Parts: sequence; structure tokens; C-alpha cells
Amino acid sequence: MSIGFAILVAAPPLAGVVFGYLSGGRLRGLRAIPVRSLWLVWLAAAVQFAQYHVPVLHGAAGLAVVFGAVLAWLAVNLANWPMAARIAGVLIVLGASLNGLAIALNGRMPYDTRAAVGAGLPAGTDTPKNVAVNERTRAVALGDTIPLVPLRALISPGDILIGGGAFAFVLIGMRRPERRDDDRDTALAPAHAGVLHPGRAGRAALHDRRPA
Amino acid sequence: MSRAADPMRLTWRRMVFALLTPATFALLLYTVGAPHTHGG
Repeated sequence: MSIGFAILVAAPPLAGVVFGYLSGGRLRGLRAIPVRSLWLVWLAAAVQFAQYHVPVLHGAAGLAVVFGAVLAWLAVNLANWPMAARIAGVLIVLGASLNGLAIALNGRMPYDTRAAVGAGLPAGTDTPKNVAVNERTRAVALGDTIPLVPLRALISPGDILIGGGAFAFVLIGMRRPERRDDDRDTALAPAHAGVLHPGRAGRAALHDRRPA
Repeated sequence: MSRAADPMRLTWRRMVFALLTPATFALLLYTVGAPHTHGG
């Protein structure tokens, strides 16, 4: 993994953290948004990493596991997120689907050779994950065609949606009020609106009202 | 004071859990993002 790739991966959520603080948010606000079944993301990342070393994972099997696990993770979590975070999640789903479609149609992610030269990348070379655009390439517009010269990288429209969604999710989460540990205190929760709660079981607080 | 009730310990635990979310999204970009980089 190159430094440019590491920056591309880390920059959107880190930018979300920076803008979150600048807009008055706090990291602890993220605790208010439940994130479940993290093992699905780790599974997808492990398979993605293994693609560099296990050729059989280059095909449809690897693609199905990676994108299936991530989309399943989002499906599990989206319903539990607040509306703004849900929209950020949908951006990620859309971006992942566009990338997945380009990879599924071409075997690997196609990249524009002219844009690669402009970004300082060698043109025409194939990697375990990328293949140069040729006359048989389908859905070229969904491939890596957008140069990021300072990082010597090409990104796709799907990458922009995923990065934007990650940035937005962290920013939105940081600006939410922190979930307190007693938020789910059902002993104090009334049955429905307009009903007085019964209070906690145990001795009532007594106040000494005798005149001093 | 028990270890579980140590407020400093709780603060660190909360911070780690809070950082887990940005880290998850970085991991997500690694898995379904497909940037083309030199050696990437």
C-alpha cells in the first residue's frame, strides 16, 4: 500500500473529525449512533487485502464477498441511524455499487491511461486491482478517471461518493448530543405521553420540612 | 475505587469507542473504494 493510497483512505473520516471539532462537535457524539456487526467490515477488508496474494479472489467470488459484506453491514445499520446519517450511508451504498459495477463488468477497476500519465502514474500497467482502459472496457465513466496529482492517484465517481459519505457521517455524528448511560432507563420512562412515570422502586426521598 | 468505576478508565474506553467509527469508515474506503495509485 502506497502513502498516497493510505492518505486517500484516511483523509475523508479524518477531515470529518477536523470539521466536526471546528463546528463545535465532539468525538463522543459518535457514541450516539449505534454501529453494529463490525465483523462484516473486517471480513470485507481481510478479503480485499488477500486479493493481492490469492489470485482466485480476483474474480466474482472475491467481489461478491467484499461488496456483499459491506452492503450487508450498511443494511444492518442504516435503519438504526438518524436520518442525516442515513443519507450519508446511502451515498456510501451508491458509491460502492458504482465501483462494484465497474469491477464486475471488467474483472478489475479500469483506469484511464491518459489521466494516469497526467497524475504521474505509469500508463498501461495492470495491478491486482486495476486494469488499463482499452476498446473492450465497459462503463469507462465509472472507472478511475479523475486525477489527484498531489497524491499521484486516480479516483472514480464512486470513490467520491464513498469519501463524501464517510466525511458526512463522522461530521454528523460528532455534532449529535452524546448518548447518556441512563437514556434507556425504562424505570423512569412513562408508558405513553401524558402518563406520569411511577418512579424507582425503593424508599422515597424525605425532606425535613419542620421549621428551623 | 474499583477498576470499573475509575472515571479516567471510562474516559479512555469511551474515546476508543468514539475513534472506532472514523476508523471503520477508513476501513470501508479501503474495501469498496477503488483508487488507482502507484503500488496501491
